[in-house]
Amino acid sequence: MTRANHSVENAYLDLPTPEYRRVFNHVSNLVNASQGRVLVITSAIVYGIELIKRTARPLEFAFHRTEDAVRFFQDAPNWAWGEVLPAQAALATYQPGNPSDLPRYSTIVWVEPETDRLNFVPFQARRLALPGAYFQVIATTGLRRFLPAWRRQPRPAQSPASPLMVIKAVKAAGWSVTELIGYHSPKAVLWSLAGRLAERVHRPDWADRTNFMQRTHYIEHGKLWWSCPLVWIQACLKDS
Amino acid sequence: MVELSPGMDSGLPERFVSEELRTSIMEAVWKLEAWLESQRQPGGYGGPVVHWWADCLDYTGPGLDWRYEGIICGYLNLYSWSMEPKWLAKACRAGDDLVAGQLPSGNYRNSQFELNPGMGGTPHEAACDAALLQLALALKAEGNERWSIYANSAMRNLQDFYIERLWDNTNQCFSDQAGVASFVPNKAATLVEALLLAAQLTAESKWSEQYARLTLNKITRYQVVGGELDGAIYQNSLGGRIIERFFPFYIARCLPALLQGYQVFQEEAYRTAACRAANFIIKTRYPDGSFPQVLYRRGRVNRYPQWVAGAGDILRCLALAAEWAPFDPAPTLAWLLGQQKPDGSLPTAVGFGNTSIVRQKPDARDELGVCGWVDKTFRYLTTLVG
Repeated sequence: MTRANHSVENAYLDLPTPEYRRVFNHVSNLVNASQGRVLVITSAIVYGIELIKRTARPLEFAFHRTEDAVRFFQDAPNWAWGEVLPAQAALATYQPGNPSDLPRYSTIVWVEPETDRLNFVPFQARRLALPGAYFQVIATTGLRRFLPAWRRQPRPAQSPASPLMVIKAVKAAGWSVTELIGYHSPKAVLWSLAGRLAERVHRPDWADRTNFMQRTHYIEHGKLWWSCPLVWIQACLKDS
Repeated sequence: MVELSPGMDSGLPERFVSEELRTSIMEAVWKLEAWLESQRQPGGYGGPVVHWWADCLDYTGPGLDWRYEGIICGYLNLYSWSMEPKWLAKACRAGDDLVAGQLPSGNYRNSQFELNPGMGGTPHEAACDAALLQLALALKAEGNERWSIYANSAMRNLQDFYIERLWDNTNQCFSDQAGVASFVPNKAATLVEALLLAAQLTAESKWSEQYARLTLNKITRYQVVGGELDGAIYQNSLGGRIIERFFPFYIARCLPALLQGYQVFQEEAYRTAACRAANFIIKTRYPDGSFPQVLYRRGRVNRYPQWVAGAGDILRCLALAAEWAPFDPAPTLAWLLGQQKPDGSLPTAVGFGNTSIVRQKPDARDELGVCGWVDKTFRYLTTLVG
């Protein structure tokens, strides 16, 4: 492998910020513990890389844009921990043949939904889901503008859909939302600001303590998930 | 150039261990070894990580990070003492994890320890390199041809990652992050250990003269001279700003490189810096044998969390300097051994619950056995069994 695959190499070396690290760790744990095939639908190569760093089992990938799929499959298999398989056809609107011939997945992960896909992907995911399957979505709220990943070009998604829009679309497709977690809670932000203040008044010892408080409050399991920049949504089929 | 002792931890002072203590140490070593064995997964040693900077409790797969330093060197110490092939085989098995986990860029898979999963972890990849090179030297000394597999892996990482990506030509030092002016003395010291071993293995002076020497010089410039913090080493610098935090554990990890630098280059400044640093660490020890986590200027200190399993590394590093900075390890050793758990592991720390503003003790992180901390006591204790 030469430096030609610069993008994958850089993405491997570039550590995600804590929100993304935590949410991808969480999703990967669930993926690793699941049985059956796993489909990942995503808007950006970098998200695919975060998953292949963490998952030793085979993952099937479909990208919102076909050109991303081509780039991803040129380089990523040489780096992936487990097997990486193309599944771009999963996003095809017309699939010839018998519906029972469609691939079926026990876990479907959708990273950074875009608004123009909201009326399609949740329905398609339902068609491809095995009974008892989980549909996991990682979405960002309007606070995404504070996340470093969204301050760089190219942005991870062109028209990101908010968690509320995603929940509505997911429910409309026949999924039932079972769990929501927010990452980088307002409490964590406040502790982080307190830490900066402590540094300013030359109390690094206090700053270090506020860092521990920030870590304690980083994840929002309760009803305030909407106040975080990054949200994980889990859904299962209503009839399973 | 003077050579370092191959294949085992070197430079330990005269044995101070009584027969009775040796028996308890042996027992502790076998328990630790059994526990480490229980942490193996496909791909290597796994498990959760807790740390000062961050915790990694949600990714618990294998991590090819500094845990391999203590594991490989510990097994080499056991082999060197007993000459039982099974210990060498285990060291090689750990080396094979690293070789198999090397990525096209030369980095090791999941080398970020508390920030796992991710690659390019510092000083973790250098610690892996040093361990692989120790293994290569031990195998080469026996005429075992497998040495080149481990050596090639380590050299590839040193060249493709450290030299090509992290060497900062402007500041003549290794950055902690590519493209960012940053220097972390303890991490650079671990890298110096690997570079000096590479120089010894290949007889190429570029590793030592071009990189190790300059790095050691830079480390000595981060040492406080005079005052209450005399001998302490600043934790790091970022964008030209020095971070005024002093961690006894990390200062201890600068000692082996400084002393090896002294041995190789016969440079008195390195020995002096090592002695100063060792005396500073000794001064911070509490009567129960434990060490504080971090000191600041004006006498401020955050005592917690106090490393338990990690204290083995402080003892190992202080033992290397004991010829010039006399030190009695007994209180810390007793404190350490007294905390070994029935499953063979060691708690990671005391006082995680006392770290935040709102004290919430007890904290489960204290009790957690973590490969990347336990390996440090494992390595230290294996130097005492012989």
